[in-house]
Amino acid sequence: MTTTADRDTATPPPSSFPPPNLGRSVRIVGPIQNVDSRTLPHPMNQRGELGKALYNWRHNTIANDPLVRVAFENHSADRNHVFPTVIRRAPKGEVNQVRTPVPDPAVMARHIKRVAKFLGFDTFGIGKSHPSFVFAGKAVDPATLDEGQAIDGPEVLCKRLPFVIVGSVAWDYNLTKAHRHHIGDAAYDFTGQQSTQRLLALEGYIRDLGYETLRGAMNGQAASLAAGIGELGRNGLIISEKFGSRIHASDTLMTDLPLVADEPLDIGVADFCNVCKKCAVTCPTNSITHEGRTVVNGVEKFKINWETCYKLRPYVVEHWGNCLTCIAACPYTKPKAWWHDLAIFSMRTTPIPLRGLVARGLKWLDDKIWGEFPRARVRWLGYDTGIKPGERACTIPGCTAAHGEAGNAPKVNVPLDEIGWYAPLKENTVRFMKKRPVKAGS
Amino acid sequence: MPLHIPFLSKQDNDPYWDRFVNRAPDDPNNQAIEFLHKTPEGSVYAVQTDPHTPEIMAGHIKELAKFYGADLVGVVRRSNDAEWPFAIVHAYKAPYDPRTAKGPGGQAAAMHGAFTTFNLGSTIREFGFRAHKVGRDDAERLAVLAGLGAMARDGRVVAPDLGPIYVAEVIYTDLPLAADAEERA
Repeated sequence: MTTTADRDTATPPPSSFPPPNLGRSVRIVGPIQNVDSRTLPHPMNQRGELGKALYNWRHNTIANDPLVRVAFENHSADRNHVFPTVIRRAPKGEVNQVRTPVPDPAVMARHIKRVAKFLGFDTFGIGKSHPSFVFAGKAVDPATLDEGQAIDGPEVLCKRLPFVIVGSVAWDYNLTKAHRHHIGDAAYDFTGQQSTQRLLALEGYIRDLGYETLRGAMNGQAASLAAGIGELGRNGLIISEKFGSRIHASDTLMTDLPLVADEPLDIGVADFCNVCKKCAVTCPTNSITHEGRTVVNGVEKFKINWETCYKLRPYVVEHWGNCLTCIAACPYTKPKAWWHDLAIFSMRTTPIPLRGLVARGLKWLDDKIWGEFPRARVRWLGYDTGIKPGERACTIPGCTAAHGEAGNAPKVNVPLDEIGWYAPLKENTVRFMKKRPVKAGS
Repeated sequence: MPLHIPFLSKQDNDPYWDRFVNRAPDDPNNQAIEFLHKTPEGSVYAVQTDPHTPEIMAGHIKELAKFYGADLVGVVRRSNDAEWPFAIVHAYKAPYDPRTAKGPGGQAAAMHGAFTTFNLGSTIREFGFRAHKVGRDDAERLAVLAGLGAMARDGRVVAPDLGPIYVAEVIYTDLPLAADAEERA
């Protein structure tokens, strides 16, 4: 197993591939060791290497919330209710023996993008496969392993499957505002399921065209950067042009279908993140750096502390599963509107040396309009971010049910302008804050 | 032959689109819709979620179905069946007729419908109520009854704003809901 320390010291063998172009938000400054997928947080937790609390959170906890039980297999009461678990059992289709000829890869690339949009992807890109993106533990087609043949190395794999496809589904902006809440969890988890469903349909179509596919063998962030989905932000997430960080990326899909790769995107994230730091300020666990970029495994980028980010979860499991505050706080995460397009346009078209000035102006505007710590009362399906977590209350307008008799939620009237907010850790002097309406004359 | 008006209508120059829409995959496993239809249903959660009132719960179920991807949702009360008193119908915009367009493009609406049927049924069972998918035999009739659209001459349901729609598998449930229409024996 390759550990982080090994990756920093070990020198990978020379590659016949030139360094990948990942845009301006990250910079390749040295040799890159392939990341072993077994060193990612979830597999480490599965082996119990992150402590009892995290292990029990992920493997021995059934969620109280019904939507979490449907969204997340590890917190489900019945795994037959969880889409990714069920669809994983589906038999994989064979590659069609009769290949559809592709005389012009540009035409096929246009077609595949049209197909992706039709199937429901919100962002979609095609990147060139690069050996450094491939997970060390997964750089093999399962079919090849079954036959006992030699395992393909990353270089051989990337020559065999020269393109990588990445798509994602964005979640609703209004639900994004309910970060640190089960509403935000639902938005995040179910768009992930939709990404999976749409990628499976696309994979089946490519296999029916007569071309090979390999799912989940690559680092999704590197592939997303290469495919022009977005840029890597200070929050350690891909920031897209239309949706900011509120996108749930699918697995990567490597293929030998003749395509034309997209170029990395430049929407000014590299310059904006230098001055903004809203995600770092609002992160409840201080997992996002306030400092500059550092070199990790040959890549210069903003490095988040994934351990502190991840280890918070067992302690907030009753209230939410995914924090998502860095996504909601990011000024790029906004609804689809002309002023959002204008702001992105201004960043993209400003000469690079002047972008810092534009970013300061846009950040000032963002603070004034959406607040330094964006919060909003969101009500959805009976959930209400204005209700203190752990407390039961019905705030649905017009509800006449006698909740108290059945031992269910009592009826309470929380004024619409009284916004509740659960604020763990960093702001924990007041665990649950309410924004009181301003009294007349005060 | 469709009419193309120069400068106004965009000529379709995608040589692969027809295959994407109309040609069924050689290996049916390359479309997971059938697999999803045949998956066993899970068990009902022991603790019931507070259903508030039937009107509110019907609103939540409709919102949830749209969250999972449905374009239109309706609830029909089944007066002649005490075991399954409500039917939930959900429909999707379908520019191609899934009965004849067997490619992944033609079946896209069915794919989204299968996803919603799966997740909506699962969610109702996790709410602590029973839910059961019953196929599409009666789907169009119930959709018309629920007011989702009107039946066209070719047997497809047409919605006022969406045009031809695909009505996915119907879900029967005992979750107390306010119905859009009542089905009488």
